[in-house]
Amino acid sequence: MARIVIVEDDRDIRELIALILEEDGHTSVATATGPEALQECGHAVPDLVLLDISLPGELSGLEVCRRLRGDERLAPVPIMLLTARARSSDVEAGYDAGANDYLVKPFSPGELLRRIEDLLGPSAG
Amino acid sequence: MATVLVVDDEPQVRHALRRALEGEGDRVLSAATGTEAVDLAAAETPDLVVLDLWLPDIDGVEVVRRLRTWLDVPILILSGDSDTERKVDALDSGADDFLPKPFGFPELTARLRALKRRTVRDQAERRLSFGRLVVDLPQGAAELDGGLLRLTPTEWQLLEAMVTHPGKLLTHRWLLARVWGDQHGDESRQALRTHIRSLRSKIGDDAGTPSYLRTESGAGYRWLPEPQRSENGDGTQPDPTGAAAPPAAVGSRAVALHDINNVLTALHLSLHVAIDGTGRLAAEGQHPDDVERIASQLRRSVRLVDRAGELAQSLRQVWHDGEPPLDG
Repeated sequence: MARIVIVEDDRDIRELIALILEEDGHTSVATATGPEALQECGHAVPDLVLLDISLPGELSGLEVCRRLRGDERLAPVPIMLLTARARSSDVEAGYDAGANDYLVKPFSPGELLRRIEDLLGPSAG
Repeated sequence: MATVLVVDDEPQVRHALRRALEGEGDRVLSAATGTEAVDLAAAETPDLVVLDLWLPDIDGVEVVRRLRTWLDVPILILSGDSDTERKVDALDSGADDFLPKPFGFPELTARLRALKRRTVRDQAERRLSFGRLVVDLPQGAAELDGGLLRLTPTEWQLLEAMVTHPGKLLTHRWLLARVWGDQHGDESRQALRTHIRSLRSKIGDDAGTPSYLRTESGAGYRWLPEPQRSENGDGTQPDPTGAAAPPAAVGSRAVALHDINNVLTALHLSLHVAIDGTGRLAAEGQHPDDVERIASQLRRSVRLVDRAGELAQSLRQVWHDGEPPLDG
């Protein structure tokens, strides 16, 4: 079981991901904005961050990613970007910002859980 | 890094191309048949395609034709000396360049670099930068200082009209016809002023000392700055911090597409959760919590379908490119 921080501004997607993670035995914290996510991650280091790339407000998903990577405690936490953009320049920008993987919307619960399992490694399952 | 789709039925060629392209820092997708190539291109949208003309299932020329119905990225053809006619057919069908077999990898990578440069240049011409403001026309996107600009459909249409006619006086009549159509009435003139005021506020401009949008009293409006070319070659301004560019912020068309994608994602997940719930019911018998969970997801799905319908209407409204004549 892992503790996963969800950062997604769309309420339905946020709630559904939380539900899917819960049913798979994980605990999750759902946040809607970059500042909220950074605050939550600072409060307790998560095992994984699911991060929407298109966040409203001053902090984009990529900026949140960079800030997580710039924090010594949070730098090792795997980050999976959720994006509607499958263009390679976006993916490249995501990896440059420090993401470990990305998932293109729309995705299925099965795909989400498989990719999370890959990032967490066998010990976390 | 570019994503290159390599299509060749010979495993050795695919392997050698993969090694050469990965050595250039590219991500490589490979396909052994035409069908696989078309499917992979649809799923992954590569930046470049390297395609052998001889494939076991579909002819390479036909693969080019199919890809060209929706894929606008460079296609490099690999062909033998005896393929002159088919080579011409492939180029006529939309391929960008060809390389005769046998070829050396330095030549292949040089050709691909040239094709990539051409792509970057084409994209740059449609991504306009005005200092702090960047307008991405094909994406229907605009950003200010890298931040998300959420424009209404009308504001986006006005911005698009103005940035594509820099320096030109755009009369009220022209702007009204462009945004509201020829049937606009007097009430639209007041609406135009209201939308311009809102757009100005979103792009951080001041009507008194405008950097972008000047009111030409009694006549119309003028977009002041010319788009700038950047040293990055992609239409963006160089970032002094060296940080990667933030994601393009979205204007009205891109917002609608983004929102539709989110609705579909939520709908997809919601239906899966409901389906999993019915599976549990079948396996473990009826439990009130499970029934409520399924019902809740089905109610959510109905709401999401309604939302998708509204977004489709909104998208229809913004998705027109009427180009009425300038009337000075």
